[in-house]
Amino acid sequence: MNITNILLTFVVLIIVGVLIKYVIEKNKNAEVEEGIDIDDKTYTIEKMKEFVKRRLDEITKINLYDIGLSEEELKRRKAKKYELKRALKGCTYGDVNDKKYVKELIYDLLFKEYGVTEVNISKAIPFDIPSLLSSQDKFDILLYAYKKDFGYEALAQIIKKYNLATLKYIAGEAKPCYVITKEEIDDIFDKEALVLTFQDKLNVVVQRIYQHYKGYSSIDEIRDMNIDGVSGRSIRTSRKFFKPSCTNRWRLLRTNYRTQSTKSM
Amino acid sequence: MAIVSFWSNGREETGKSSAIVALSTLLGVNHNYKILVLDTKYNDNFYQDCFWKEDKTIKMINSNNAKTDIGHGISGLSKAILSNKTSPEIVTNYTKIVFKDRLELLMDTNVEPEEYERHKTIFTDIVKMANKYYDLVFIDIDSSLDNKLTDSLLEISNLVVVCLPQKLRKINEYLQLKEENLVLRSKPILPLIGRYDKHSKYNAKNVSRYIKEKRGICTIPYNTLFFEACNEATVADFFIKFRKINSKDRNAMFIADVRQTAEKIISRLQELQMRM
Repeated sequence: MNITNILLTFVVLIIVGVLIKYVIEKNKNAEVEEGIDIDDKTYTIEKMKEFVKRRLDEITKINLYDIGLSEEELKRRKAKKYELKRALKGCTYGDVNDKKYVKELIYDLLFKEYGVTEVNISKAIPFDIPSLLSSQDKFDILLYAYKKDFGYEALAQIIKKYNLATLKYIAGEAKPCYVITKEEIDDIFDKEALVLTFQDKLNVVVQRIYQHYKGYSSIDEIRDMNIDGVSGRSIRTSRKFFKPSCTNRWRLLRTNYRTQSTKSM
Repeated sequence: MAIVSFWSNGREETGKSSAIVALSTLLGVNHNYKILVLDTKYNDNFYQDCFWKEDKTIKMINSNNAKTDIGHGISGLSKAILSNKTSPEIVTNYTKIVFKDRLELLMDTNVEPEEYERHKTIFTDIVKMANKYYDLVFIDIDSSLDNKLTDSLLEISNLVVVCLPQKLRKINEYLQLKEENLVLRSKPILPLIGRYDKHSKYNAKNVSRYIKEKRGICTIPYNTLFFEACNEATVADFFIKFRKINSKDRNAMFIADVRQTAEKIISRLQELQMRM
C-alpha cells in the first residue's frame, strides 16, 4: 500500500465521518412530525381519525429516554404519559371521565396541529348545508346541543319535548312499535334551527372521531345518558342488554354494526 | 397550606406581578416552602421573561418535545381537571420549575382566546387542588377578570394582598371598594405598595395613617437591578447573589423590604392559622 492509497483512505474516512455527523445533526434538529399535506380529503372524518390515531400512538409509544429530558421533566412526562395510557384504556370500558380526557386531547390535536378551521370543518360534516346532513349527523348535533343544556338528561329531554315515546305504525310492520324514525329526527332538527359556533362544530366532529376510534360507535353518546340501558339484537347473537353503569366490551358491541338497535328508557 | 391572592383595583400599574416574583423567589431561596405561583393573565410573558431565556435552540427543542407531550401549563392541567382527574399531585406535572420542590409556576403563554375563556372558569378548582399539594399558592389576579371570578378567587384565599400605587385617587377608590365589596370586607387584607418611592408624599407611613391601617403597609421599592433582572431572566440569580448583602449596598433596602414583606405574609398566615 503506497502513500497515495493511505491518503485516499483517510480522505474517504473523513468524508464519511462528516456525512454521518451531518445526518445526525440534521435528525437531531428535525421536527418530530412533518407538515400535513392538504388535499380534498384531508379534512374528512376518516383522515382526521387516522391522524388522531397516529399522533396518540406517537405520544404513548415514544421512548422518553431518547429525547434528552432532564430528570424532573422525565418524571413529569412519564406521569402524563401513564395518565394518557390509563385514559385510553379506561375509555374502551366506557369510563365517562376518561372519555372526556381523550376527547379534550383529540380536540387539541385537531385544532392546534391538524389546522381545523371554521371553513374546512364543513368537509367533515356539512354543517352549513343542512340538506347534506345525514340523519346521524342531525341526531349527533341535536344530542350535543341538548347535552350542553341538560347534561345526561339530554336524550330524555328530546324524547319528552317532542313526545317521541309513543306507539307508531311503521311501513312494512304489522304491529305498532316504539321507534324514533329518521323523518322525526329530520323534523326535530328543522324545528330546533340550531346555530352552532366553531367550538360546537368541532366538538361534534371530535365526538364522531372518538366514537369510531375508542368509543361504542353510534350508541356511544346514547349509552352515557341517564337511561336504563341500550339493547342491541342481531341475527347471530341473542339479545344483549347494555347498561351504562356496566362495563361493556367492544367485542360484544361490534355486532351492533349489523343490527337494528332499540333504545329503552 | 395557604392561598395568598395578589389583587389590585383597575388596570393601574401597581407592580403586582413583580412583587409576586420578588416575594416568591425570596421565599424559595430563603425558606423551605413549596410554592406555586398561578398567573391568571392571558398569554402573559412576564414570568417567562423573569426566569427563562428564550434561546432559539431551546425553543426548537421545546417545540419538538411538545409534539410528544399531551399539554403543559394551565391548558394542559385544565384538560385533566375537566375530566375529573383531581389528584393534587397532578398539578406539579404541568408547572414550570424555578427551584425544584420550592418554587413552581403555572401559566399559559400561547393559547387561543376561546381556550383561555374556557380555562379561566376552573381557576378556583386549580387553586383548591394546588393548595392540597403546595405550602403556599400565590395567585396573580388579573384585573381584566370579571368580578364574579375575581370574587370567587378572593373568597378561597386565606390572605389578600392589595397592591396599591402611590396615587391618592386610587387609594380613595380602594377605601370605597373596601367598604362596598363584601368579599374584601370579610377577608384579611395586607396592603402593599409596589414600585415604591420612599421620597414621595404618599409614603408607607402617610398612606397607612390615611387608610387607618394599624399594622402598617408593606412595600416593594423600585430597584433598577431587579427590574433589569426581570427582563433578562436573572431574577433567581439576583436573589441568590444578594442572599447575604452588605447594609451599605444600594440594593440592601430593596432586599430588606422584600424580606420584611415576606416575613409579614408568613406571620399573618401563621396568625390566621392559630386563630382557626
